[in-house]
Amino acid sequence: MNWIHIASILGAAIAIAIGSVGPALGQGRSVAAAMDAIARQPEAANTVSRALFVGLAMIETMAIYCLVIALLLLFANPFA
Amino acid sequence: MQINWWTLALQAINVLVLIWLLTRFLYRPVLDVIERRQEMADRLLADAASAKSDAERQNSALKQQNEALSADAERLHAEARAAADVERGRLLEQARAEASARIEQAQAAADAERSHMAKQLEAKAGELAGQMTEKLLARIDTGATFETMLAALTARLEKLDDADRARLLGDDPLTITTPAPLRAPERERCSAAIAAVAPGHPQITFAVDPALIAGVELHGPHSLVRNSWRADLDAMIANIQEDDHGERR
Amino acid sequence: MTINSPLESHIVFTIGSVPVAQPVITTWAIMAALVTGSWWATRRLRVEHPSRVQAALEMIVETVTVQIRETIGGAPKPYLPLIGTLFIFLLVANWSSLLPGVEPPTATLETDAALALIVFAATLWFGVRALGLRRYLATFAMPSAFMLPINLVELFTRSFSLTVRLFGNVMSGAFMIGVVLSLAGLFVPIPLMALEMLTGAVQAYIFGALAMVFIGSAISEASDNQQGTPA
Repeated sequence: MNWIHIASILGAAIAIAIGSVGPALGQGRSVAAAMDAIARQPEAANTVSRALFVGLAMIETMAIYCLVIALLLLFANPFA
Repeated sequence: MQINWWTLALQAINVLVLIWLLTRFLYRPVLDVIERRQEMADRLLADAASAKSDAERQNSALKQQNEALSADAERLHAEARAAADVERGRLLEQARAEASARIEQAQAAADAERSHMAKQLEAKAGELAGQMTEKLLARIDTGATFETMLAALTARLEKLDDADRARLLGDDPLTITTPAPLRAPERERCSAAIAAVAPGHPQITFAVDPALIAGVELHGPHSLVRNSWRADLDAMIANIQEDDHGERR
Repeated sequence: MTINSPLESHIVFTIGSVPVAQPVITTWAIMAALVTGSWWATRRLRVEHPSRVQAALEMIVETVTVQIRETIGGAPKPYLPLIGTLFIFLLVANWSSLLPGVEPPTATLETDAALALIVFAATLWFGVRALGLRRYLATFAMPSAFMLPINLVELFTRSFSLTVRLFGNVMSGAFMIGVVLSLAGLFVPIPLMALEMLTGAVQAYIFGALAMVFIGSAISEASDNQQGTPA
């Protein structure tokens, strides 16, 4: 286990850790806003929840990107 | 890591084939069924709509017919009323005419009756007057009037012109009628008076008629010289009646 | 503890020089199942008194149709095969991980890339079909010429993000279940599998919805354009 491996593992952990924070905050905000909107206009619940799901998936993509980077570092490290 | 391009190509082809197969086996039949059902529903709706419009048309036609019928009925009603009015007017007129005719008739009958009655009364009155006069005169001796009546007869005979006198006296037998039988001298005076007017007259007979009251009348077969109170009374009554009629008219 | 790399797929056999990987075989199995199932289900469709299976099929098709009409607008019929197939295939493929020993084909990058490529091609195709080649290309310079590189980059990045989103979600789920399974054993992975089912369904829906959004934006830039031009 050379230092590249150590750096890769550390990089993967840091990528997941930091990369999860932003999407988590964003998802929390968007869900809160969606709840608010549904509470104000229950008849628009379908439209709002559809937009919410699409938005959540979009935000989640950021975390998924981080996950992909981490997995690349772990399993398909081009420098290893 | 590396992308396996063969896998990528195969997967893309797989998905395209799946799209085609599912289009063939899933979407088209299901869409067909949905479309057919929609068509059926549309047809049903159209049927219902056409039935509804039919019903509405029928309804309006019936309403129109109803209106026409009611208008007809009103017209007939009006006609009947007019006919009844005319008939009633005619009947009324007829009744009125009949009534007036009857009234007129009754009036005429009453008039006739009244005039008839008046005439009868007058006749009766004349008769009564005659009888009264007769009774009054019966108390006078006929001889007292004989002279004057004979004189009047001779005067009338003298007044006749020759033709009349000849026709009256002629050759026929004459009858002298008096109310009471004449005594011999009086007969002679009569014959003398006739002979004075118509000399040579052969036969003179004498008759009695109390109805004359007073007077001397000369009867021939064709002619008559009335010279008596009876004749005067008759003339006077006739005269009065004629005057009455004249006044009434 | 040894874990196979989730980024590499196992080549089962080769036909000539064409290597056939495990996900391709799984996809074939899924295709066979879907086609057989739909053939069997649409064998006797009836206009009146539909059977239960037919009612379910009609409900699925109706739902997709309604979604397409709401998102893209216009007649949904040209888009139904693409969107419906994407949704159904992704749902079945994502849920195929529930079968023991089956790795979902969407957990490999190539499958997701192929799907994203098809969506990319469909976006171009429908855009050109709706607007004509020249006007469709002109939409990339909207609202101004400065947006041209950004629009072009977006065209590719959104396909890339589509790929990576689906891949990351499904792969991570499968990977997690594999890890937990190797650690704990019997009943512990069940909640994770339930979560994976939900994720798979949501990702299938989102993939289809994003495909609709992309196609809708491609063909509706015309109307935006026409509305914007007089102003």
